Amino acid sequence: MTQLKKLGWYLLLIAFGYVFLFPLLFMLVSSLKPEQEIFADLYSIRAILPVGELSLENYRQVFAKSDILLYFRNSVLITSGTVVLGLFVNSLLAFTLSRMEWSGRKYVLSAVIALMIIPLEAIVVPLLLLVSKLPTIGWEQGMMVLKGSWLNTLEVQILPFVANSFFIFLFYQFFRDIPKDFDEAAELDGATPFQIYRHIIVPMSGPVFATVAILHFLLMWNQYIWPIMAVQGEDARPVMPGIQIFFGRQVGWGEIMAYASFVTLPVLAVFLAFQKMFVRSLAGAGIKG
Amino acid sequence: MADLKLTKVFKRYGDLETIHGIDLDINDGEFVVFVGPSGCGKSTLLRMIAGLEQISEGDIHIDDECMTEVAASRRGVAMVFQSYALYPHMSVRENMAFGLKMAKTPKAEIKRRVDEAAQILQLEALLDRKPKALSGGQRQRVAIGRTIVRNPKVFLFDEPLSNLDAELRVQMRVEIAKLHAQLKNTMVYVTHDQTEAMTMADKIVVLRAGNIEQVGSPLQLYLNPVNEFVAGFIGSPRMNFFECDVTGQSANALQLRLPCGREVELEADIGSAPPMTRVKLGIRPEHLQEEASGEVPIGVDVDVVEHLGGTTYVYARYAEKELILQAGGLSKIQPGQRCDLSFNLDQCHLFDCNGLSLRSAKPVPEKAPLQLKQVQVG
Repeated sequence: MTQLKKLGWYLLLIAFGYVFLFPLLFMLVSSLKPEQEIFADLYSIRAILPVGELSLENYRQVFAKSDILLYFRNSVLITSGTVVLGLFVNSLLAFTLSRMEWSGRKYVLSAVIALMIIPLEAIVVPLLLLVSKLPTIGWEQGMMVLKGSWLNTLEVQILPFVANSFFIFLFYQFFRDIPKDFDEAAELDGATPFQIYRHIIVPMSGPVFATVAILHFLLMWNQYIWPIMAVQGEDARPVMPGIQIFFGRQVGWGEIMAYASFVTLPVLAVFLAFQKMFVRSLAGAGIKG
Repeated sequence: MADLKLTKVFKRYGDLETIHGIDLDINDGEFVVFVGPSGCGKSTLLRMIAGLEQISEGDIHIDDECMTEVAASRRGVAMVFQSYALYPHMSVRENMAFGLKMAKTPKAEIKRRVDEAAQILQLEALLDRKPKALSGGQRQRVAIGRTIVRNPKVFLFDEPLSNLDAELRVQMRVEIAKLHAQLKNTMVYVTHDQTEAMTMADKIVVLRAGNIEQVGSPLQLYLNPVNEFVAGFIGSPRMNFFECDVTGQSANALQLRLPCGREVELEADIGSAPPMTRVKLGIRPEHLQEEASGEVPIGVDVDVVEHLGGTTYVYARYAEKELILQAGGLSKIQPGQRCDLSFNLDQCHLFDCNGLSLRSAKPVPEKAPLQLKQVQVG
């Protein structure tokens, strides 16, 4: 390839990269600037450069004017609970589908694949009806009691989203490529199916676990429709519905950018932590690393 | 250590029957090799012994205990897989200790057994390595070590050397043979390589299409194959076969016309068998002679000559059929040549139209030891 052609390709890639990176950089930089400076720099390169009067004032205002720390805590609990339970539940079902013979296995697999095409929006109303009727477990005077409904709780934002057919399928595809010899060797070594799953399959499946963790994290962290419908009170509200509430108040663009940056940073951190395994999983097309 | 008994063992996949009622006795301490072409059912049979495949019908007894319905982990067997099946995320030590850990063996006992097996297989320096840092031969030894630590009643090997290069295969064959001599356990070994079978086995079980063709020691199968399949499968290069017309038949002899027209008479236990019109004559490549000095001379056209140093393989045509001669390393036969070979009648095998043996070759008498003459020098 000639040097000129190479230069052309590089410029094109830089342009594409700029298009994708511009919103993120603009958001981060604007969160550190006062409102006047945001508009003054809007049509220049300064819009994405951390120059001028930078401070954390916008962040201070966000903490003062909203319960963002409470929403953040709720999001962390909801997301981590769903991801941890989901990794276990989804991988376990995928393990039985891919590595064990039992009656009805083919039908369950077909059902899992069929469920992938049904969006949340299609089932959100019946789901809401269901959870509104289900009682929640509480404690009174040292005794377990059933009370209220699932609405306005953290559980209602966790439990319906633990099992996910797409993630089951991802695990299934990955496990299918692991040679059965390992299972047979472990079986001869006296391992039960759960021990084979725990000691053999899970340690060999780092890439797919990382992939599902990242995808599930993103799914749950960015959830908006379900929390809006199932949670009315502040105590169980996560960050995304919190943005809507925050926008409804008298706030400046700098504060809006600060709020958005604050809720985006954990996503970036998780991706950076798992990116190696995530990329390896995608590159290997589900084959064990 | 244990004996192994298979009684009328069948394997069916729906309507397809792949193993057809096999009966087999394996004595305590024997090294038995299941050999046969791909798809003959040898691995399936091994896996049924291991408990990794369900037996459709019949029984398997290990040490007089019925194991037909017993789970694989409780049969007292250990298996070396063709792919080694070493857990890639565990070190050599952890791989070898895994089975003992599953059995809740105390840590001190695990360490003792792993160290002992590592010493037998010279793996001490490799215990902390992961499988990906091992060579093929080392991985195979770890796979064997994983079976030794469990002190099984029966060792099972499923084509363990097929992934190794030729030189390493020879080396590992010797290692496994030494291991058997040392441990004296019952071992069942599956291979499609008849050389492995001949060199390692106390007893060979030749399988074809889910049936046992013959069971016997390597020499028994070599000298007295019961049918054309066993005769052709055992021995390398494979036996030469020629269709011959039967010109005369009596209770203990057959008069044959060879493809080149020559007439010969061969002793055979015909008894009161119905008259035959055609039989197959078998002669091993190593029993053909380079000169025409044998009882039956034949003229052949040489196609290809392979020099291996100590041996020469000559691929020729005799009466439009391929013929292989195993000659000495200094053979002067050239491709494209027409040359005269010969063989002795007592080296011939005969098979009827169903492939069943009518007679086998007589064993070649052992040559007298060389007499060395002392020579005065100087």
